[in-house]
Amino acid sequence: MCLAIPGRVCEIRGKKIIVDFSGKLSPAESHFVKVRKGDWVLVFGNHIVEKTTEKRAREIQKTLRLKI
Amino acid sequence: MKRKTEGGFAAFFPKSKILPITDKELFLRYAIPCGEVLVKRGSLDPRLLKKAERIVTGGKTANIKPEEMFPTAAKMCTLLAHKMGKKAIDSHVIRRYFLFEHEKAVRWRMKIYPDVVQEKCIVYPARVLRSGELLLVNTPAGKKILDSRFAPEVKRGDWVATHYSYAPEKISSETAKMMLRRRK
Repeated sequence: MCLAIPGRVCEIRGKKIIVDFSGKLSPAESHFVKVRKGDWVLVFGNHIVEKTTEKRAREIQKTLRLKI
Repeated sequence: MKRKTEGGFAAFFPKSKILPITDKELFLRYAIPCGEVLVKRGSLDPRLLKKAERIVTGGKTANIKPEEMFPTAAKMCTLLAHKMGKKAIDSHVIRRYFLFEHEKAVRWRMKIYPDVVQEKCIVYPARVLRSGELLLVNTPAGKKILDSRFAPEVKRGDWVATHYSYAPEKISSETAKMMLRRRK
């Protein structure tokens, strides 16, 4: 299935949304939620699938480090 | 005119709502295998996952909303359905997503989080070497042992799709070969 990863919107350039994943930047698009700079989001394959909170993002980052 | 605040502009290019899933059972076959990871993340109720499993294994029609259990997969299928000009997530969309498109997204994630184990996540075509409660199969990533509960009818020589330790379903040799060609 599809496990989205947490990141933070750091820049919006037209259709391209730049997301910061703990220092790694990657472009994404958002078709399901409105996002603004600074929002925490869950992303899968260049698509922002939902907004989240910083707390939740950190929790998920922890599970990622556990090598799921 | 009001100026935008420093928070930045709202960005949204709506394909909007999740489309209805017309073949829920098929969607669940492919989505359930990584449900355990969602349970570990705390975003899926394990009882709901068990209930969903019974829909696949027992042909039960419990009242379940797969798009709420697996929102990421449902959204990815929605985007693909739009691309295919469809108004619902039907069996064509589900198979095209999981068998052909899903790996791209997994590989994208691999670039960001290389330490997450990804191999299980990728849906492979596999030839069945030994059938039974546990299937021994040959995938492009090597031999694997799978649980056969989603595809108990498969026999030696058949092709199945793999996802985590599950065989979501039997696939035709044409589909398997198409998947293998795509991987080259």
